[in-house]
Amino acid sequence: MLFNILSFELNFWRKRAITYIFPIIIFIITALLFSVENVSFGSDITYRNSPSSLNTLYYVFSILLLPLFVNSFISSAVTRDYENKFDQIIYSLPISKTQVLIGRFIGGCIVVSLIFIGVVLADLIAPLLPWANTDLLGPFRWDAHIQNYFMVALPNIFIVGSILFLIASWTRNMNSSFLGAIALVVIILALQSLTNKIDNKTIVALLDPYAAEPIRLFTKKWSAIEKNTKLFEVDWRYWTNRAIWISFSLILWMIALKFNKFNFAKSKKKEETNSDRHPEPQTKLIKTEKDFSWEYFLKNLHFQAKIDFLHIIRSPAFYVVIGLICLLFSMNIIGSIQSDSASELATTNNTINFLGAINQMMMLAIIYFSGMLIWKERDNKVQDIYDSMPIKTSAMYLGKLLSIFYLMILLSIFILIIGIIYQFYNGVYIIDWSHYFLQLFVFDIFDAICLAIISMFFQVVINNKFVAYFVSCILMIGESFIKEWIDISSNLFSISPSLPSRVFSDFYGYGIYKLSTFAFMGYWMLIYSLIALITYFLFVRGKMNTFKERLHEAKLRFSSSKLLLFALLFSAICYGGFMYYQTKVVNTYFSKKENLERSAYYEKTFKKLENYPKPKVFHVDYKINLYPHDRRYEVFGRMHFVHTSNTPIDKVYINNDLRFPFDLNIKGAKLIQSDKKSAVEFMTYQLEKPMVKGDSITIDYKYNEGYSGVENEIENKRLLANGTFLDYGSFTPMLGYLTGMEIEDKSDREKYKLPVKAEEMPELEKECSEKCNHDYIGGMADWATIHTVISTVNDQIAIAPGTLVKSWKDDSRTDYQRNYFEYNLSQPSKFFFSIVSGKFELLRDTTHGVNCEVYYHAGHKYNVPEMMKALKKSIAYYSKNFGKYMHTEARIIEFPQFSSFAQAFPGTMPYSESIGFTSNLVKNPEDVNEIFHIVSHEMAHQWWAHQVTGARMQGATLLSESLAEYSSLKLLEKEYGMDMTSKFLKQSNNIYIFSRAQETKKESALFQVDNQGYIHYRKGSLVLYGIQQLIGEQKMNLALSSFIKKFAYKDPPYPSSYALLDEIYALTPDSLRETVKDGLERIILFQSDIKEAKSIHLANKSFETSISFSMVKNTIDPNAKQSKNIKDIVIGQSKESPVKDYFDIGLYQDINDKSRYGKLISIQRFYLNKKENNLKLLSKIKPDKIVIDPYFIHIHKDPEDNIKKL
Amino acid sequence: MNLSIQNLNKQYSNGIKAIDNINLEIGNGMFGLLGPNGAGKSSLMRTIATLQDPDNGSIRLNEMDIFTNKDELRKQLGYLPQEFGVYPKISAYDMLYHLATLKGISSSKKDLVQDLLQKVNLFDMRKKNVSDFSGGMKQRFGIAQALIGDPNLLIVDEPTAGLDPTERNRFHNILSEIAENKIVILSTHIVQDVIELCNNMAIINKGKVMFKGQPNDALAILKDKVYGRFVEKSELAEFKLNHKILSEKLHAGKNYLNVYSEQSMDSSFEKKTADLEDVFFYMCNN
Repeated sequence: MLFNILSFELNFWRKRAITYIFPIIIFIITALLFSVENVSFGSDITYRNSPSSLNTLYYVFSILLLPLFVNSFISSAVTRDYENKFDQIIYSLPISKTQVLIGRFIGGCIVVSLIFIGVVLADLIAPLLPWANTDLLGPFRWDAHIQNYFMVALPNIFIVGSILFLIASWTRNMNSSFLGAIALVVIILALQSLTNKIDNKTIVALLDPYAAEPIRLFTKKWSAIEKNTKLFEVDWRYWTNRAIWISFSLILWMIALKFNKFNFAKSKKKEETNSDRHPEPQTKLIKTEKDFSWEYFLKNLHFQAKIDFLHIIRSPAFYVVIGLICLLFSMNIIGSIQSDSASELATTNNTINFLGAINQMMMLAIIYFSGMLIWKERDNKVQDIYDSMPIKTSAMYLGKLLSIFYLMILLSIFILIIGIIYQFYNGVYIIDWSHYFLQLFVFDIFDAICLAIISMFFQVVINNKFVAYFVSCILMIGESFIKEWIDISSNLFSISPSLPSRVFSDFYGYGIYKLSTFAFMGYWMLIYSLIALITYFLFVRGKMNTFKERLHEAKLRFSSSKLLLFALLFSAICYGGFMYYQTKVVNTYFSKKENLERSAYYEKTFKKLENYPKPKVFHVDYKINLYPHDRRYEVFGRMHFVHTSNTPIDKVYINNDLRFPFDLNIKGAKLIQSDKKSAVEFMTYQLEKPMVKGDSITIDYKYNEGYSGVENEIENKRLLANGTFLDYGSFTPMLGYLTGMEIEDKSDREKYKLPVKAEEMPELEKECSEKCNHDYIGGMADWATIHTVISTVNDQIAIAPGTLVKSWKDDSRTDYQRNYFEYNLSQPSKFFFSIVSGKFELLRDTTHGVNCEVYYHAGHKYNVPEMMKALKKSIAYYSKNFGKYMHTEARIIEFPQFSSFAQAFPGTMPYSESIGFTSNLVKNPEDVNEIFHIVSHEMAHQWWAHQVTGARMQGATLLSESLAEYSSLKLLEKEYGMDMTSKFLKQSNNIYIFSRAQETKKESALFQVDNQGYIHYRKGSLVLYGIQQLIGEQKMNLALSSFIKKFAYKDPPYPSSYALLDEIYALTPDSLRETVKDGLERIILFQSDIKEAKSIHLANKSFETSISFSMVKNTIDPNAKQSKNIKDIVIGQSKESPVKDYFDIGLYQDINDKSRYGKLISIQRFYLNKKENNLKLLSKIKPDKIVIDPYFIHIHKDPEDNIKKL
Repeated sequence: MNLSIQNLNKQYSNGIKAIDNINLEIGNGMFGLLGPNGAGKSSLMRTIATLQDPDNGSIRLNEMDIFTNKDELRKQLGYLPQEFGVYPKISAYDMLYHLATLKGISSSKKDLVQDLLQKVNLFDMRKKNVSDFSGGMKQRFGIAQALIGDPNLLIVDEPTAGLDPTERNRFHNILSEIAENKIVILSTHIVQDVIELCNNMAIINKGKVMFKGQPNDALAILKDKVYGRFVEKSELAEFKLNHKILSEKLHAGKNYLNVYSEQSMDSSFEKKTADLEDVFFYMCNN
């Protein structure tokens, strides 16, 4: 019997088109991903069809498309009887319901599992496609397909299938199954955001219904070579996860079958006619009046909207949406509580970001509800009655749109209330109403209405609910890829409304973004009105079976609203033309492709001039006038250069801006060539007489930059009504070839036939040559002084580098008062600075004769005292241990969050609004104090980078970033203790391990670091802090101060990393030499495995703790073979080397707080010289925990392996 | 009022000709549309109700082309489809009130809705959800909505299906009352309904009009041409071959057959007065 049902089911599907459409879709998507170069899939350095990419692909399909397949083939198998009203017949047949369910379920599962064959076929066929780039593809891997098919696809088909199938059987309703599918996707998204925040990976791994997490636990640490070759690994967590979810599905089945919820005939008791009848009423109908005026139309519109709105909020889907909003919100809260780093304060801006995840889900809900409304009459079979009513079709359609609007208002109010409660609950009582209003009631509703219009358009045109859902979702996911593929950057051309990206800031609200955003919104409203009008033309009313009939009807509707159509079309074209003129002529932009082409041209044409000597700046006079409200500023500069190279020159090359050119005036030189084909105008000046060492030259220039009108994307995000923050590079002409203009992306370089860029910086040299004459920061100057007169509007402060000499107001114009400031940087410094203007509050203090200042936005006072504390502590510790601070002031200046960084300029440290000014330090004082860390890191740069600067070659950032990390970490330890330090080091260790797996070029040893962040920050902090633990703080700082003495503010040659190594080695005892060398010059990873650890109570009231563990030392050879093939991996090979190192072992007592280890009982250092070790430790107190290397003298593959509970 | 249907044709994409060159003139009063299942009655009704466009042909209401003036027709229309559903979780009262708005009622909708609910005997159930109604109650709800706003053109498709005799009577009374100065088109396959109510009628089969006129004219066609007799089961096959069968009934377990004959039949047959049912079978089987 079961077999019969199964074969009937398979036969049924064999005849459906949909059975073939889905595998074809899968095939096409996969084949395109595998063969089209411009589509990005996976990372640059893995094959498109590498085992790990295949794994990703199987998961993407399982998570995004599987629910759709399940609904089409599995859930529908149980609901189609109800929908076709065949249930009473089929279930009155003498067959077992269990068998029907199981038979149909298996049948559906078989069909769905066959869909995945599309991936295999695509992988086989992709290399044969005419446009395929075979470099992208590795060998075809049967084993990987089989592994993914059986371990990813099949179990998920069963689990997702069971869940949705049973939901569908219970509710006998396809819609609930669809909601289940949406809920699954949302849960996955939420889980993913949770993984990034929760430390306990095992819990997340077990919870993931698709078991992607347990696999990712391994693969995320893989290097590219492993990704290209290895099949994925699993451990008990995968099997437990599968066991949990499969048993969960089986339990669902058992409950369902046992309690026989499937009593198939509709169970609800129908209302019966009341028995006592009323006397025969009058048969005459009462007189009525009718009114079909304009008012009637509005009334109908209102009624349609009302009834549709009620339909939405009475549907189960609505409760699911509300439930999911709450779920997502609480997941976010849990996530932020669980995370190690400080949480954000509940300012309005942070709260809105916090609520942002809800948006995606709301968009899915809008697609769902749009379809539901378009099909509402037909699904409920009221269309015959409804459509024969005199209501205008336009009122029907617009009413449905209006109901989505009502829904959005309701949801926005709901979210607003959640947001405000959240803010109040967290003690933030300053509510930025306009920010809430714009985000929730303008941008979100605009997006939702446009999405509703386009989804309804698809529903009406395609006239098949599920295909239209599919198309809408594809549009939501795929449009940006398509736009990128065909290189459209203009916001005027797209399907879903495309707006300029915007950045909110407490400094200026939406400020400069408002005009362009609203202008584009207007444009899209016109376009979407047109789409709505076309939807109205094709809106199905009555029984329209063929497209011909619908077209006929459309013509009738068209002829009655011709005028409206043409009026809309005309205004759309005019408005579009105006926008094109504004964005392309008044303002300009290059598309992504044009930018790449221009960069490629620059490199190809001018690379030969890279080593042509250029004169260096030694003094600049600036006169800068800022007009922040008009979005413009002007600069008059006089730059004094001196030639420092031994090679004479007769030309000076200048990069001029294409859009806002410098008006240059160079005495003693004339322009002989100008090339505008690259991203800049490259100008060649011929000197009247060649410059030799010591000759000087002056460049005078005028510069004007200003914006007006509508921009496609806001080009200058730094020129703001409040909080203007400009880099010197944007208003100072740059000399010579700029390596920063080169294309970095590997495949883009390949496309434009540029040589493979294996390394970013020139190779490290032991004996310094000409190369050491340039530092790695800018190369414009060695040491320069700057004098600036800067003016800004009446209510703002402007800040330039150096000491404020005087400030005054210009009263010459009564209507337009301006503030003037004169700054002088007299200490010759790196030519590397920025200027700022804004309305600031100021906190001022002094320490060691230095003026410490924090300039901050009025509402952001929360963490300013902490910053001041960090400033003062830094100056104290660093000047004591490294050398004198050479500026008279140390400033932190807050800037708007268009970018998230803090940076050190001489004496001045701009600090983004988004990385600390509104974070919540008070909530979890045990978390790593990021603010203290960042300030002390930037402050350390005043020594490491601004006093001693590395030569422009590999290893340079060891001398700045790593040393700054070390300095800051030492300060963190002094201020907040070892436990916080250990948390910081654990983060560094884990990020280093994770990031080295993503390396695309070559992992260098620390002393050769090639500007790789994970090495100079993460590994740098571990290694230098580790060395300090080995040789002691005093010796370490002695080495550093001696390094400062030799190189601070010295003329070239600049030091290389060897200079620092020499200082450290000089103070390292021979016994530690190799370990110190390991850190600086080699790549070493330790891996420990604690076999057993126990503690016994000795007679004399003390405790003996014994531990047996293995310690493996892996040495990675950084110079592993390098190949010409872009896909060949340059990560080194690992081999085991003998352990001969010192390790700390600590005993800890549990205390109830958020500390990493608990309370330290004792710590002891051991010299290990073999792999297997048995050690004994004595303590007075009973230890709860034993930790190997608790403070990270070494780097570990997984620090969690080092901890054992006793 | 006058509804004029001319040369109306409609063929579905599966090849079935649902409406085959139909011409009908329908004036005030009750008009019966009689035909077997699948004859094209509902297609014709839907077409008149502007829910479906014909391939060609025209329908005019008082000289107004209804296909180019759909909204105008809809303003005067009451329509009860053969099959219909309702929204979940909406009470009978609310739903009728909503539909009254859609029909443009500007006078007191509350009175109107209450009156209609009383007429179809659903007043006590007005607060219950229509989706929970039984088949008969739902049908009565359908009748109530069709009557909203005293339509000039009332189209009812199989209105009494599922009604008990009392309710059926009640509805027939309402229908005959309102049919005085407007057009009521009643589609049915139950001959009795037409006899009771209609002064004009048409029989259609396979999309074609087989007969149009007054019921009496229909009867005249078969005057003196209907004979009937009992037939043994063993003779049945042969009997059917040799005679024009109008209908076949069981009478206490025995087969009684009505046959059509131009000539008078032998005495084993009894001569019968033709009723509308015979006409119906005559039209549909030839």
